[in-house]
Amino acid sequence: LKAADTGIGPGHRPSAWLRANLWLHRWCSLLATLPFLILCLTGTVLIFHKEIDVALGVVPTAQSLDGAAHRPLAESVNAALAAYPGERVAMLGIDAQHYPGVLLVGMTAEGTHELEHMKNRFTELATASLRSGRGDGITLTGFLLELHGQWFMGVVGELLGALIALLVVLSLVSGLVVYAPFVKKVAFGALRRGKSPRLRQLDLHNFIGAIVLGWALVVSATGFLLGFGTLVTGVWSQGALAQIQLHYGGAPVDPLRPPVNADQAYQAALAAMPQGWTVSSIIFPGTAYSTDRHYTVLANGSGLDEKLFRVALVDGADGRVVAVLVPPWYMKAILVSQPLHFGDYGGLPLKMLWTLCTWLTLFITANGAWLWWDRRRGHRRHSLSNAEVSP
Amino acid sequence: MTGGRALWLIACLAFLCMVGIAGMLLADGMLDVFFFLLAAAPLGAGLACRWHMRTGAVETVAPRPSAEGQALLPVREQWWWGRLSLPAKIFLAVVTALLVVALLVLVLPMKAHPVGPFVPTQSEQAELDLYRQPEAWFIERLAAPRIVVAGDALDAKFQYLAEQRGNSTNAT
Repeated sequence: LKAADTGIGPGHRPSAWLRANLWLHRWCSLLATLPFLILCLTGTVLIFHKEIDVALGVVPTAQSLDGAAHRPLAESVNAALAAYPGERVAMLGIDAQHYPGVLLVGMTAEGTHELEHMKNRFTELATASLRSGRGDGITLTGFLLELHGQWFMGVVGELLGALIALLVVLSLVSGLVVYAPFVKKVAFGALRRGKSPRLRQLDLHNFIGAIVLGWALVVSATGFLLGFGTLVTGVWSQGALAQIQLHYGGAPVDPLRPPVNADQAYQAALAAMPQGWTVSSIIFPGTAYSTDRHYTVLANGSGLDEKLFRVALVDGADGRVVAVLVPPWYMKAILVSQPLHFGDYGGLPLKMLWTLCTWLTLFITANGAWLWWDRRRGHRRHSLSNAEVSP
Repeated sequence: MTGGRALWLIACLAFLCMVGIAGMLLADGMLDVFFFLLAAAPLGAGLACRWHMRTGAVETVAPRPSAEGQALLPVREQWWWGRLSLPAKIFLAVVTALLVVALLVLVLPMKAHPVGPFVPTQSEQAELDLYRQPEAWFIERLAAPRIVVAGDALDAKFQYLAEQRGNSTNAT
């Protein structure tokens, strides 16, 4: 994009403010173009990750219990331990809304503290029997999520993602500033025909950019916050867990079979939560997100509280709830960012809207890069022809 | 629409979209639909604007400034709704109303609360117990010989129920 594209007449020199924004818009966009194209493509698939996982059998389906009693969680734990010797249960996950009747059993190698290489196994809540799923290998959505969120580089990749998101935010805001003088001459929504393909592409770029501005700002700003997700969660949990360990620490419990079983930890944590809250995850003692003695139990409410969990630390030796932690505001911001970024918190209409906006953004990213390349090509041709004429 | 007004429109649409996206996360039921419409408002406005341009109801490019750099002349605009004939207005209003009703119809059943497990009354339970009897039980209790239709014996349960119904009708 050049100053001439903004609709400023030949006799007018653009202000320093406008030129700065032009520069910012051009270079932020160009730097982000290739990664952003990948993000748009992978993001489109990830919008439908639940449907894809179900279709590919990543998560087995089971009859919903609809509030009826399920078999003790400890039975599922025992079944998993018996089926996979040499491994330990690191966490249990219950998502009655999206995966009804199924218990996620996350397993790692014995003696491992990290959850990064956790393998997902599933049991049926009604029978506590293992169900086959494809969650323990590399799944399509898992692969794409790793590419989308971490660029296969872990925390460094997440920070890189945050940088790309920041570039996109800057590009959007500077784009609006650059658009201001342009819209004085060409009405909003006008696509000029017949002059040159470049002009039409420029009009399309401006028009589509204007209508997806709000959506793109939300998605890129939340993407920026999510880029700090693992880092912030790690720092916060380590700080909080270190304090718990300091105040309530004691002899470590056997992480394979703690004296207090998962059902007792579940009940103790539920009793400590407000009415109507449900337990979504139980992390066993001896992981990066729990102490060597305490279970970390995550619980969610309904509405906005569904996204903002609370954490109960349950003593693995005597079943006491030693602390209930409410995430700080910056953690809450990151937690709320996740659904707002992926658009997976509503039904099919919301997912369709997200897909449409993603594709429109994909288009303006590619066409913006083409506009820049086309102008450079034009300049090169112009200087070549000048060189031929001048001698 | 050009100039400051267009910029305001774009900023307002972006803001509405952001409110809609955040609102959907917080709201349930009909409010969810309202916020969804807000989130989709910029796309809707864009489509309306394009359609408006195609009908040629507005000048899309402002006149060129003169060499002396005179200020740009205001662009003549006419609100697209005003250019429509009355039947066209009625047609559009009806289509919009139908779309809204269709959305409501789609959303309302989704919000219906699931019914609890079926608990039969005493008479319903007796009826269920009767229907669960094996075929031999019905054959034993038939008042008349098995009815044969086109070479096939009529289902014993069906014949038994027909006999019972006939008896009760006769008694009446």
